[in-house]
Amino acid sequence: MSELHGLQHQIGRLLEVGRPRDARALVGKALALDPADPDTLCLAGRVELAQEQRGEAERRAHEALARAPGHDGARSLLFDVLLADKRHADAEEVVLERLRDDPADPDALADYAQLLVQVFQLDKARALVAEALRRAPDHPSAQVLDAVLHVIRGDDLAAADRLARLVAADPEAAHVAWTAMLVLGERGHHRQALEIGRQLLRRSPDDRELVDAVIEQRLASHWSMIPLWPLLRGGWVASAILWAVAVFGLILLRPFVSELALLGFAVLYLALMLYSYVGPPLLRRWLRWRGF
Amino acid sequence: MTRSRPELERALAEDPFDLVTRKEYARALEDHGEAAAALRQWELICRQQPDSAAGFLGAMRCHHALGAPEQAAACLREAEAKQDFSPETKPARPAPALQVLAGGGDVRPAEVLQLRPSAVRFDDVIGHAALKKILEVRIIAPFVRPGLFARFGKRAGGGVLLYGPPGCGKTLIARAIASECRASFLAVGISEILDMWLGRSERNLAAVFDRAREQRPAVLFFDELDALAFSRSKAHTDHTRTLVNEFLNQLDGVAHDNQGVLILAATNMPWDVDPAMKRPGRFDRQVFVPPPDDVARAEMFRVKLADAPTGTIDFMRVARATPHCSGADVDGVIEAAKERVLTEILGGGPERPIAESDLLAAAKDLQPSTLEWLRTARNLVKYAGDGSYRDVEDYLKSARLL
Repeated sequence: MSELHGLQHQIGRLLEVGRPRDARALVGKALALDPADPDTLCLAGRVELAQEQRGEAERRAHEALARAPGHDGARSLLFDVLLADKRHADAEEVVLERLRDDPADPDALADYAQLLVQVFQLDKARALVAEALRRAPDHPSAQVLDAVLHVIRGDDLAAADRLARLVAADPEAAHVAWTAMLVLGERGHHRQALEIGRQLLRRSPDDRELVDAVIEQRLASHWSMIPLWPLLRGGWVASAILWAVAVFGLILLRPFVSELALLGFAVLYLALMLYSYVGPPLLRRWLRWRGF
Repeated sequence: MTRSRPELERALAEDPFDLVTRKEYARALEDHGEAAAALRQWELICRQQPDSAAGFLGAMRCHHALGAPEQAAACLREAEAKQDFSPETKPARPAPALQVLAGGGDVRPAEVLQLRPSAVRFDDVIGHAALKKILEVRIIAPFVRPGLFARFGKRAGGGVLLYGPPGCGKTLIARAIASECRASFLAVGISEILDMWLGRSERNLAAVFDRAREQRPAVLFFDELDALAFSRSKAHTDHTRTLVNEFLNQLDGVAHDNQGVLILAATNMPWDVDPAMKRPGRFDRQVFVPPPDDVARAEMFRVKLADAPTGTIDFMRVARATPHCSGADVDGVIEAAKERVLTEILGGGPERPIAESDLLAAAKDLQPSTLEWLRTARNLVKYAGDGSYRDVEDYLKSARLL
């Protein structure tokens, strides 16, 4: 291994352990050895991206591509930068170029699917994930996306099946735990999902999205949400059904029960509706403020 | 185990970039009085590891031995500019002191080094009174009086993890622990361990542990433990996992005896440290180092402004205006206040000392660097239900951040 390769290895390692500043010092050394090396330029871009310097990261990616057109690492870096910047059209162009060069590249297929999930092109994303998994059945990002897409589709059983495969492959990986939390939450196992979320939070307490997700799971598993279980589980469909049942139920019951009982049912129903609007946001605020 | 010179030479011939071996070789040459040869080795180390003070300090000693005080002073200046420089690694009075004491008969260089006038004591650490008491009972006393603790079935040594927001004195406390334990202090940063060559990081780590065992009683201090023992479940590569495995192997002492070696570590991100590192027998004692309280901050302002021209200052009031500030933040406030006064003087104003209002104005502009850490820790306490952060929880409650 040459000194340059050694430095590149060290930079990658420092990035992995969250030391982009230390990595930056080594990038300088590596660039001094070979300023035109595309791998080093990519790593320089990764260092910038880790420090939220997306403009500089993009510049490094273009620099690497200028030296080595079609460089996988550089295109992947550019895609990540554009996706982080939410420049979806530009990101699509980059990933399409990768697919033109190699239509069977599972990484590119999974990246494209990820982009399409972000812009809610779910059918296309599903097709791409299926293709990625056909090419590489153990591809971790494709497996996660597959599970997520099944959750979005409401196919809990298929999602649980994908999750089982992920857990078998790497039970300790954070992305697997994330997926597990999502799938369990979707299947209504909020307590289990909450426990996984809390375990994840112990490892990444600075992840705001995770904090929000854990609060949501706690909310869904809170005893005060039991009366709203059908609404929380079924969403707007359950609300609509409940409305219809209540209105038609009251009309149909009218000849058989007293006015007072009907009034009682109506008040109960309206109280439930009111609680469904007011209860969860209030509880969410309470949980966020008080903790659990 | 100390290697002989031919062994070291063979090892260096096989791998000329092995810095640990080269340092050992340079020290061996020094011990044999071959200062010129040792100097060549130290200069080579300086070139291979320009961001470390060790090489320059070695070169300084050799220059002293060769009667070149100017070059020695230049090397010392270089060493002092490095991040890993510690005043304790600087010989107290290198060559001249020995010459003065030479007539005394039985004074050996090691004894001169052991005096270490610049060593940090617990008294030098401002604030943290409760923490110091805990450390004295739980860590220092078992180390200094092993016999007493052995009768109660407690062993000296083991691992202690200091964690807390940045700039709050974890490293200083570690140095003070070493001084109070009257033990050798080996400070290890990530640059000493992580190496660009495959397998070398693990070897560096093993060498550091070996050196600590040779010098027992010793305190081995790992700064930024999260980088060296990064959680394996978050790691993407095998290299990180291999290093953690080696670390666990060294800590477990299955093949090694760590008795008499106190292993200290500091981290700002305890949640990034591999959970296996925190199990019994490893870093099972985790101590939270909080930001200094009002009284400690007032004392810091008083001490740090002692040599500067100041008017009448109510230090307690300034301290109350800087809640959650770390020691490093206090330095920042003082620097900003000085800058403010100097700008005024250079702008044609009358020369005046630093006033309380300057410090208060500087404090107003400052965002405590500990807040981000405390907010992150709050997530752990509030939502993650992690019982291992009870000290943090108590601090957050007392600081009304929870």
